[in-house]
Amino acid sequence: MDAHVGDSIVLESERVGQPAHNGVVEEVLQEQPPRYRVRWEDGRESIVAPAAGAARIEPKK
Amino acid sequence: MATEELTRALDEAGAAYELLPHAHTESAFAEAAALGLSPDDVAKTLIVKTHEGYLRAVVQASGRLDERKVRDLTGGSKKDVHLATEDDPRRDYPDFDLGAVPPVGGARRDPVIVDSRVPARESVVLEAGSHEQSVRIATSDLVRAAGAEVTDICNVDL
Repeated sequence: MDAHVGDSIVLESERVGQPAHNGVVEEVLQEQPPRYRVRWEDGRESIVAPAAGAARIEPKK
Repeated sequence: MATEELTRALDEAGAAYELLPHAHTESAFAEAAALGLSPDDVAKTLIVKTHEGYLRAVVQASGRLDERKVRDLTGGSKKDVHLATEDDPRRDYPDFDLGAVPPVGGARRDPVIVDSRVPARESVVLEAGSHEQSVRIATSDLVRAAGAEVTDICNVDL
């Protein structure tokens, strides 16, 4: 699923190998393959390329 | 941009990954500290010169490459197979910051050996071609994207 700015993103632990963590998409850097700039709950920011189901996107309410 | 050379290779492999910007660091231990991680979470990519060219060896931040174990795999004499000097990557890996060559990506298609201690963890953090950005990737995806051989290439007395 494509993410948009403001959507929530949950990085699934089994693909990236760490506890699942939640963040908000701050910027869509690239559509295909998707790459998002994400601000995580702990305040850190990173760039995520969630190939093949590594992340769950929850649309902004 | 150096990191693009890495991410292109990972995208082509369909790997999921996360890029972690950090303050400039020159060692895997400093990189771990800059990211608030344990050194055990971080690995480094070493460039090894062989009689057939180069190979890239991925070992834990605390790992010490055992050149003899590498020679057992590659063949070649002590003179042929050894860690690259600084001048070699400067000349042959112009895509990347010196000392931050990632396991995959760039113009060269080197064989990759991942020390068997690295996939003991589910994910690993590595310099992403730059001293200011790391990549976190599942070790299974790293091994697959690099077409890497997984075997023991480090000294045991860590």
